[in-house]
Amino acid sequence: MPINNLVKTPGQWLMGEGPQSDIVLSSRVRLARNLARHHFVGRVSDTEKREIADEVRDALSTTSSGKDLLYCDLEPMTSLERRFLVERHLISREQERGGGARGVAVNKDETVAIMVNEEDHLRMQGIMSGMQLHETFSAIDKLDDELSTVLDYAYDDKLGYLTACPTNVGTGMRVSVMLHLPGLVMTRHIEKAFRAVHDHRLTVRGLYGEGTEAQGELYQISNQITIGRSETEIIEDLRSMMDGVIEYERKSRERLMEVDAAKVEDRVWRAYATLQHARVISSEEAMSHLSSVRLGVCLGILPKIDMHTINQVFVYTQPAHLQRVEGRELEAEARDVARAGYIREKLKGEGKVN
Amino acid sequence: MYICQICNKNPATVHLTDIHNNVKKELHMCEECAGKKGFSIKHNINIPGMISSGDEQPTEKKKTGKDITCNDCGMSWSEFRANGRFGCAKDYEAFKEKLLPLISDIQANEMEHVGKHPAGAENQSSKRREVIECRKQLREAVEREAYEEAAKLRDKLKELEDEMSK
Ligand SMILES: [Zn+2]
Ligand SMILES: [Zn+2]
Repeated sequence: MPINNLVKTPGQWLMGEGPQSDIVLSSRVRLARNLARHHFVGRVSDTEKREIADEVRDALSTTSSGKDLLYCDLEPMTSLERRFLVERHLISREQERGGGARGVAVNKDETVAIMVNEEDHLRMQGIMSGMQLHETFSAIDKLDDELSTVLDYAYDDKLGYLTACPTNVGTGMRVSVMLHLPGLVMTRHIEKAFRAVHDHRLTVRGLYGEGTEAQGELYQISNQITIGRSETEIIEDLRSMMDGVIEYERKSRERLMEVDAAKVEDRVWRAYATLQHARVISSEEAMSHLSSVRLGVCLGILPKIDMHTINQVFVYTQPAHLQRVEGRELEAEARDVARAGYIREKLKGEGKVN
Repeated sequence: MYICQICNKNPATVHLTDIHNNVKKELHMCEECAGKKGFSIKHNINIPGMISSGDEQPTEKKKTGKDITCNDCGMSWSEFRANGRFGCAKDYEAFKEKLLPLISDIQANEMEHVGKHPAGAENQSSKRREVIECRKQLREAVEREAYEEAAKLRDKLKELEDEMSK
């Protein structure tokens, strides 16, 4: 099973690198494409789904940027394996739950993932660490161009790329950034920030997308409008709006330190102590403390901890990752014990004062 | 963090935004209350919310008498309205009349693609992009009071637009 290899190294987007990576965990760009000769995924038989998957795999193998992708067939996978891919942001929750032939083609550092037979025949994703929207788009733009020479895309001159849902029509592009906003949450300015974001026709979601709760003060912000402006303009619109939110977050952090540094430091150190010593910890509690520790790293309160370690722990303490790391299935209670153990191990030797 | 507007107790994890006639309505609910209200977590909450709570008129069906159906995949307009997903790419043509206002509504009055296009596709979209780019430059030139440049751009724009309408 190829996904066994994935657990060993975290995806590139968790590296904590790139511009503004103290606040921006990752940049993501997704293009929706459909094949003109098939009905949309929701309206085809299982046999046809298989045909579509084969066509896409063949097409990928003929392109220079697609031939080295690793194809993971989701159909024979266990639900735990599929959940593992969701936690890594390689497939969506919708694709996890879907039926029939479907898969994802992933490159080595996981910056590119092509979902096949999700809501659309193809969902091409680029994901990178920090604020790198243009770079992320470039990574899939080229592959998309190449694929369009071998696949017959459903495309209308006026409406652009035709998608299963009209909210994606046009560019078929959804651009998103994942932000860590503890300062805005603590100063209670987050609602105000999000109101401004909503007014710019952007959507706010939690760590795992649609309908998920915001945990660890992590938020994904993405564009709603997909037509009437070019890919570059959509990216620039989001980026300039995000610059404002990032600035707001920085100001909030500064203000917190000016007004009540002791309170912030106390929150950070208590969270760190809990993570270092807890024997049983739920996902929610872990996320909340990790968020405080991450803030502590950014503010220089915990200077010796690597941002990359914290980012990785956010994902590796999710249920499916934990079970992969442990190499066995675990009930919820056993997971809480394993999670506490994993975090203690990861923080060992990290963040020692002196 | 929002608190559920229905039970006023649980944290809201389901957020619906409905923008219609430039009036934005927001509803924040916990998963439980959202489930009771019939917003399933399975689908993209924002989207069917926007589509089905838009300009839906209960009398629509009665007025027109019959539903439109796509000849290719058999999807009907009412079926689309119920689940927010098309059956095939030809639905865009089949439902055109009812669909374009809907697209305009969910896409902030935009209905013309100006982004990239597949290899070999007609280059209308790149022409359209040129027109839009030219309009932008013209606007900027006028702002800068570079009237000579603006005059040139105006001529170029007219040329491009004539070409497009051929
Ligand atoms: Zn409620
Ligand atoms: Zn159809």
